[in-house]
Amino acid sequence: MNKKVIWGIIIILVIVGAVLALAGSRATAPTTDEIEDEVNNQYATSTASTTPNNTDATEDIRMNGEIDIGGDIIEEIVIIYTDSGFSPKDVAINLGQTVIFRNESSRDFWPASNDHPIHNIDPEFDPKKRTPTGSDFSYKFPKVGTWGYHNHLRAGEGGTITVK
Amino acid sequence: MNKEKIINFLFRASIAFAFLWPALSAHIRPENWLGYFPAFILDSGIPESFILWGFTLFHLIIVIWMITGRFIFIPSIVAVVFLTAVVVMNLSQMDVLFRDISLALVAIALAIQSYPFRAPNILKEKE
Repeated sequence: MNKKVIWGIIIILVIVGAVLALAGSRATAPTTDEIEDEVNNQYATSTASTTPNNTDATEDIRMNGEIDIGGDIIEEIVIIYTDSGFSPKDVAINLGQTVIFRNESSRDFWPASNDHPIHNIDPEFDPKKRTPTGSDFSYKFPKVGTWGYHNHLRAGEGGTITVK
Repeated sequence: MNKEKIINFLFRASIAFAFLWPALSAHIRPENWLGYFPAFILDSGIPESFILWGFTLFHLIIVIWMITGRFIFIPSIVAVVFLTAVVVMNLSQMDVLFRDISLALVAIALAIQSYPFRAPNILKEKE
């Protein structure tokens, strides 16, 4: 075999080895369980502070998109993620409303702004980590417009949020 | 080095680099690449780490094969099928994946140039 080809392969293998070694030595990312605990704690705190003695508050939010707690109107739109994908996929909201992406699937998900994988259209719309089953990610869209989103872990799943 | 050899090398280098980068990046930002896998692979029960290592191995085989310059028809066709599948299975991400179509066209050019299993002239002359 041509010596140049052999040297080329050796150089590439060295580069590959170096990069993989570098990747392996990175700080260990939190495990799914750790993330789940953290998110659940945050969610529990949030729920406790905003939900009165109403165990159906979550259902109210989901069905109406609006709840009244202690005189404060909180407007939230919930998009449910199941094993079939997002539902509803496309949502129209008013400026100032918060969209909650709720994971009711059997796996992690990661809702984020298009474009995959760099989320450049709205970099703030990105939890920067996996959202485990039973957890939420909420985001208040700061500008009017149509914002595409997707599941970072399954880029073919997604939809649009239209902010009016 | 004549024009044909240079063009052949650049074609092979373009495909090799396009496959080398994902092989490395998949271990730096794995979620970026898992997102492109079809559901039937992700739902197969195979651990994500295995899928990623398989992905890396597959890509490195294409890279090394392209560099060797031998029997380029085969990795070229594999590259065309792979790149086309990525685009078709992720049509919603066309704003990013449109370059894969360009790369697939380059791979088709390589396949045509080498058909049927012809080694590039650069290697023939040395053999």
